[in-house]
Amino acid sequence: MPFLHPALEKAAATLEPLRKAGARLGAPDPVAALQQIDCSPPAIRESARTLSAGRDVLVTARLAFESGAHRAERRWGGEPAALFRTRADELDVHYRQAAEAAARTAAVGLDLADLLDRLAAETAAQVTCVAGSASASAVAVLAGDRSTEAVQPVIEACAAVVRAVETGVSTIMETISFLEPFGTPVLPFD
Amino acid sequence: MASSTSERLRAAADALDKAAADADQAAGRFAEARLESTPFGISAPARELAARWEAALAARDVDARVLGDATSDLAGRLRMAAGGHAEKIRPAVATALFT
Repeated sequence: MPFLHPALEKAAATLEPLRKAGARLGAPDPVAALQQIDCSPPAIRESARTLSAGRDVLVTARLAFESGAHRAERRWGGEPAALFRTRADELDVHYRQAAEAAARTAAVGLDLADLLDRLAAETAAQVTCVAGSASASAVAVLAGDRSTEAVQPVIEACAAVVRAVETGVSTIMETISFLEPFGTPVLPFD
Repeated sequence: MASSTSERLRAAADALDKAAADADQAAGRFAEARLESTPFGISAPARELAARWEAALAARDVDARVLGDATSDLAGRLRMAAGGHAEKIRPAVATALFT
């Protein structure tokens, strides 16, 4: 299964000898573990930017709304005008609230994309280092060496990759609350 | 003058219709922002994050649609007021129009 993140794709290629050696020893699959932290920050950024573009259109809508409301309110008195003004003021506030929520949601989306990007890059660098430190042992195991000196580093390296990924995944868990304020509409249904 | 007020209210209603169309367009953009794949990842927390992102996009979509509908509704009431020579509308009719 190909990786979405280029740094993880490259790290997975580096991990391949370790994966094969680990498989012969019944160790956890480091490449499968790496899949757990794979992501596509550009796709998330694109989504956030589309959201931001929608927010800009909403601001344009608010400006058209304000222009129309001001035009209606000019030199128009009596109860109809007062009732219109009350409703228009209410909607104006709602336009601002909706645009603000869209802007803040888009900003959180961009922050999440950056965070996932950084986690993927850091994890990739970390597991590449682990793979490098166990490469000689992996080659030895693949050649049939079952001595403790060959086997132990491979098993430990596979476990270290799994731990690195778990640390990254637990960081993702901490970000879930970032979107909590934005999951419901800010406007009341009439 | 009633006629000039009516014209102004109709023009205002046109602006509100434009605002409603823009709000609907914004809602369309929010819907376009929704993701078909799982760019957040396949781990359980990543899937939860993706679900919350989708919920946030859906909420923004609803906000914009509610605004579009409310604005369109207000434009319609303005047109009715313009047709009835707004400032001469009876209080009961005015209340029915704008509440």
